[in-house]
Amino acid sequence: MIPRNLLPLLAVLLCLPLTGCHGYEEYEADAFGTFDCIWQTVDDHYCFFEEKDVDWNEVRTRYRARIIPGITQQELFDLCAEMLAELKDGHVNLAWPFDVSYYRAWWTDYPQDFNLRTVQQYYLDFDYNTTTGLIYKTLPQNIGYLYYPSFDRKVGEGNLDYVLSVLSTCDALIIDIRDNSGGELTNIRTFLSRFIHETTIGGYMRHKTGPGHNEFSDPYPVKYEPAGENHVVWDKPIAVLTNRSCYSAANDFVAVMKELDNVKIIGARTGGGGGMPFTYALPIGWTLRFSTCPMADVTGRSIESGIDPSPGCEVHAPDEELAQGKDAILDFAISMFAGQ
Amino acid sequence: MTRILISILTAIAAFLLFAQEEKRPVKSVYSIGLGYEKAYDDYLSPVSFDGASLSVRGRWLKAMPANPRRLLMQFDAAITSGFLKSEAGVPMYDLGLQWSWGMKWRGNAGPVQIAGGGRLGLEAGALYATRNGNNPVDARASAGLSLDASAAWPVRVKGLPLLISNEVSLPTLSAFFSQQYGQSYYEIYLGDRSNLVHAGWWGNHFGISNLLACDLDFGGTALRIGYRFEVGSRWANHINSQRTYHLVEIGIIPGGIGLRKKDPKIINPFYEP
Repeated sequence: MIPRNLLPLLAVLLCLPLTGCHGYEEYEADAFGTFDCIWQTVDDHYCFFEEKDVDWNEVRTRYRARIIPGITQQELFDLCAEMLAELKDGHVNLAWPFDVSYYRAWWTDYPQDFNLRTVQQYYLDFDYNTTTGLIYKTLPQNIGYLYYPSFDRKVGEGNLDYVLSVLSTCDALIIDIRDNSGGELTNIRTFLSRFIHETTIGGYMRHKTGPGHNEFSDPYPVKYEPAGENHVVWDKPIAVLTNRSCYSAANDFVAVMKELDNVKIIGARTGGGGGMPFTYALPIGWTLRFSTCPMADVTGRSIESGIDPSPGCEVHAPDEELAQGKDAILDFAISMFAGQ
Repeated sequence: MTRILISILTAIAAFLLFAQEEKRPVKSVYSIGLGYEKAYDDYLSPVSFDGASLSVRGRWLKAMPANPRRLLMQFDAAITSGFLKSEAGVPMYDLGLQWSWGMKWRGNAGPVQIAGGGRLGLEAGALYATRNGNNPVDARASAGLSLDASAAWPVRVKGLPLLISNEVSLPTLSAFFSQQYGQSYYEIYLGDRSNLVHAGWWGNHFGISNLLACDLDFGGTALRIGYRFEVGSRWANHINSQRTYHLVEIGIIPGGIGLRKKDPKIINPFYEP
């Protein structure tokens, strides 16, 4: 027999393992289950509700009421995509085998300010070098030109050593990242390491610490290391050419470069994309991607809405001029260095 | 006084002689587990995944010289893997490594051998969601103390000696890894490593492993057939991660388990009458 006064203690001990069982919601793969799963996942993890002043509860009420009996998958996908577009965030995608939703207004509502063909034809004379996606050439004004189309393309240390060696006799360097919509953050580190000479804080990163809209960690400094003595580095003047289609990792790159003394940002305000996105599989088989970790520049300002050009360096390249072979942004950079 | 001294020396000599005669071989069990796994991890996805699970395990047992018939030492090692899918067919993979060292004390209640003990264990592993971008993996790592209890009952079926046993292991206190709620591994790589290690107990790091086994002793070797039920869960920084396994285990025990032909000089770590 167990003494009566020990029974409560025994009951507590037997119940202790049950405290380890944390339930979770099993969403159905139907219209309401899919909708609720999308809404709740975004509600728990999205990082820019306050910055974008989005009333997510109101959005739920408005869109959930539009789910009707017999709604098709295509209609549901379109409805959810429309709801997600309320976030006005280019890092938000809903994907299924036949489509990927994408908020495009961050660049479609702005001039393009770039035409690669114009640069290739009228400035590089179709005579340039390429390696791992980089296009580079010494311009007649003895200015190096380097086009980096995407941070998805990994550039090797050896490639960078070679390119910068070839351009090392130039008086200045133009890094053109127009239309670069981002890619791997680690590629920024490789590229950037050639333009800094000491450990440099390039910005700050935070993450959600809980499902509340304002539950964030303290900003953590994102430090970049120089390439070191065994690699070719650049310490002469640099111009970084930007347009509205510079997004995500390209936006991060501009935020760091803008703080360097020998760098001017020339062109248009970048598109933003200052939130590292996470991806989640949904019950219906679709995948949901959205910003979860907000990034800030070295001053602590959010870079989600883009980076302005350096003072006095906002330039636009109208389509009609580009069609005629004139790139006003590139011309501005060349003139600036030629006049120095 | 001299008599007492002689008695003690005689006892020690007898003990040493006896100890030399008794053999305490290391006995091992090698098994493969095949079955089902269900996983839920809201760092990776708000839906659960399930599918096939495959594991390979090894156990090494040895009677201890201090009290060879009662005190046992054991090492366990396991590699586990899961090939999972969501209901809609989205893939996820699970890989885990486990290692533990422990001691247990055994006694007999009639023909049933009962044992209890504890062990120190290490575990590392990860769930890998192939379609995720910046959150592709949720890693797990822990070091902790588990409590073990087991019962073994020898029976004979048509002349074949069997040992039916049930063993349960319950992790108790631990230290375990968990990233923050929305923290990327990239940020950890950058150096933000605060609050990654947590003190674990049943409320935030619960697990249980139960093995119901039948060992068929053929003399030179024994065959193990068993069913393993295992749960591993983690609740930290608002991240809910759970794994459940149901496995059929088939294993071999080289040298048998000593039921068919008992050598009185060999201490059998599986069963001693």
